[in-house]
Amino acid sequence: MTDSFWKTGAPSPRRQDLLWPSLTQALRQLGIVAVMAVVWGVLLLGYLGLTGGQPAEVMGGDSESTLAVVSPTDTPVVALPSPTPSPTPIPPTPTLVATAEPTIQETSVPGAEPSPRPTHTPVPSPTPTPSPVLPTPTQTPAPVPEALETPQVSFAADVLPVFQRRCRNCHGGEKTEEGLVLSAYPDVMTGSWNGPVIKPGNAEESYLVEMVASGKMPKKGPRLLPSEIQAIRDWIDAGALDN
Amino acid sequence: MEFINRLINALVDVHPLHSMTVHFPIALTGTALLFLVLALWRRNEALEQAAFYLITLSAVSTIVAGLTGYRDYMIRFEGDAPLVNVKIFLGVTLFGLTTVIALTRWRRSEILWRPSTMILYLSAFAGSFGLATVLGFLGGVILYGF
Repeated sequence: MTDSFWKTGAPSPRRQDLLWPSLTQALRQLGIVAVMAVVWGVLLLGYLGLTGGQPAEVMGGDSESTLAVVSPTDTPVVALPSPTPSPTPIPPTPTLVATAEPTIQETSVPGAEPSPRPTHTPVPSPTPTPSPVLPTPTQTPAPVPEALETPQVSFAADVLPVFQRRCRNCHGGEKTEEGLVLSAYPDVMTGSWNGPVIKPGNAEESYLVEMVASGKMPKKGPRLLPSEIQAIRDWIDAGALDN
Repeated sequence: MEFINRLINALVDVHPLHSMTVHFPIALTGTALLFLVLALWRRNEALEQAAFYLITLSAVSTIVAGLTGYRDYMIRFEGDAPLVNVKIFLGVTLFGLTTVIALTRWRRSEILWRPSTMILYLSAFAGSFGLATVLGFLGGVILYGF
């Protein structure tokens, strides 16, 4: 084959004697391709097995934040008034914790579209199973407190860690993109150069929620987990208190 | 001078370089495959040569895309980007495949026109384009979610 046709301006040569592969030749080549593809696939799976596959955040398995929401030691126990403080740590019991757990898990499904919070109807308290070892005051059947109807979200415990973990690079003091600082409660409520980004009591109309729920923020790094977004929503809907 | 400084700042600090450079392997492998199919259809050696040059360029651009990708991974994502393992494996595979194609074609210029290697050669081009496409898709997943 000559390669000077483009230098001389002559018409590019054409293969008049082109031979197509016979069936045997085609099958042999396709077999080679298939074998190589299988070997490559095995190598890929082995490589992913060795390196641990994907980071947990992609799989929605960020154990820290998920446990922070789902953990049975969280909201219900805090919400329940304890008449007598127990001197010894009480292990998580399956009594009233079970009433609040499904409502929180319902909103923290990875990949779920952000939606208005489900209405929490008063859940009948389950029959307490008396523990022969540790009878605690939390096991006494009691009417479900009002606090259980809305998830108790603390700014310091639930929301600020999310800001610090996911937003501080650009909105954390050293860098303040758009004038927004998310490192302390007063700064969060002050908002950006364009005004407040949080409307207390109305998460749906809060600009911050709109940004993180749509995935426009954070610009760098993966999106916030649904559980993290839900924590921010719950905190705003509860009045965006400095708690 | 101010414009030059802003340009350098934009290229080095503001814009993620990987997002710019990844388009080269995707476009080059796709065009190479197109030219190869056209060469077979038209039985045209010029098109086949163009495909060879394009796949060679795509091998080079894959190196650039990989290096800028690693830089963005370390600087912009602070080593915490998802799907990195898969992307590294696919990227290395893409570089290896395009390099092997280019070297083989360089040593054996008749590789497309021989019936015993035609399908292999064509499949390699298609595979490299597929790899580049999947890599681009995974990049989109990282940036925009899935």
